[in-house]
Amino acid sequence: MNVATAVLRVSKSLPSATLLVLIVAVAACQTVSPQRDLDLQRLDRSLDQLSADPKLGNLAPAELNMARAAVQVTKDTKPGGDDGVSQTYVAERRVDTAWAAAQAAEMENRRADLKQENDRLLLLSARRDAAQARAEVERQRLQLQIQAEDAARLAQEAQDARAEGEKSAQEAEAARAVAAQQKRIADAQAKAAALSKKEAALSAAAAKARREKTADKGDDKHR
Amino acid sequence: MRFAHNGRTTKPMTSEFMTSLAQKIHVSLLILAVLVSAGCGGPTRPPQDLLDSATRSLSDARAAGAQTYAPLELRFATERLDQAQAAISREDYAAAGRLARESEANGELATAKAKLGTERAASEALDQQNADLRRELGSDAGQETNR
Repeated sequence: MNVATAVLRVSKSLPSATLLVLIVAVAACQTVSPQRDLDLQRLDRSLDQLSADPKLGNLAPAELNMARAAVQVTKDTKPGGDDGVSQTYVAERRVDTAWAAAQAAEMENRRADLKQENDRLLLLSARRDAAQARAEVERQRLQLQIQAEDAARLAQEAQDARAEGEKSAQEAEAARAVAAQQKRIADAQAKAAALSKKEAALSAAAAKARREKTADKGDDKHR
Repeated sequence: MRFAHNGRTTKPMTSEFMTSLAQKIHVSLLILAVLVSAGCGGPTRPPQDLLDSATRSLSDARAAGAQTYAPLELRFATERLDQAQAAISREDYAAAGRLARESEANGELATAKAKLGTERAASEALDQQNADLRRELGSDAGQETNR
């Protein structure tokens, strides 16, 4: 509308030829670009969608503002020409950057949650390992205690066995001594018996001799 | 053809008209020239600020790991910065400015994508580690740690 007003105002003071030249020049600069309008609508929709996203909407406000500013600059830029194309390109990147920054922030929050869970699980794992280590130490202590008790029992048994052996030896020695004594007694008894027998034989011989002597004396008398 | 009818002269207005027309054309052409030079005239010096920003953006992108997570955007940023330098060499500062802005935008996009890729990789690694720990811990994994 400003252009039309200006054209009407200038047309009152300029001849038609000059006016035609100006109109052509202005029209050349005001090129209509339907594709750019479509691009801008798409970028606006994308930014609105990002803003309204319940998870991402508030995570990258700076990048979102930069993207909106870039889109606005594109709208304000003269369509067509290198500047318009370049500004549309930049706006596209700014919108993509806003999305990527919001997603990165969301992923950062997720990583923080996962790290917290990781710390909890590591603590549980450490506690479990410590409990297992304590149980292993206790098991080994009990095993050592059992082994020590077994060793003590075996030592006692060995000591008892040694003591029993010494006692048996003493008893055997005593038995041997008794047997020797008994043998000596038996020998003595046998000797005594032999001597008694010899004495008896001698007594019998003496008695016989006395009887024979007595008989001889009687014979002599008779004669 | 028009004539003056002011009663004091009967001289035709052709020469007067032509003089006025020529003046108007000259004025119009002057205005047009001013407009054209104002509208189409480019910068006369290199856009050093834009180039510096684009260079920083590119450096940030590389430091963020864009080579791994956003190689395409990093390549675009690099190419446009090179093109901007080439435009400066031929004293096309307007093109240099446009290309530097595009390079900066690509660099910042590459940085954002690299950060997203880095965070995603770290999250996936933690997720896997937590799954392994839960599997090792079995039913203990669900117990509270505030003992």
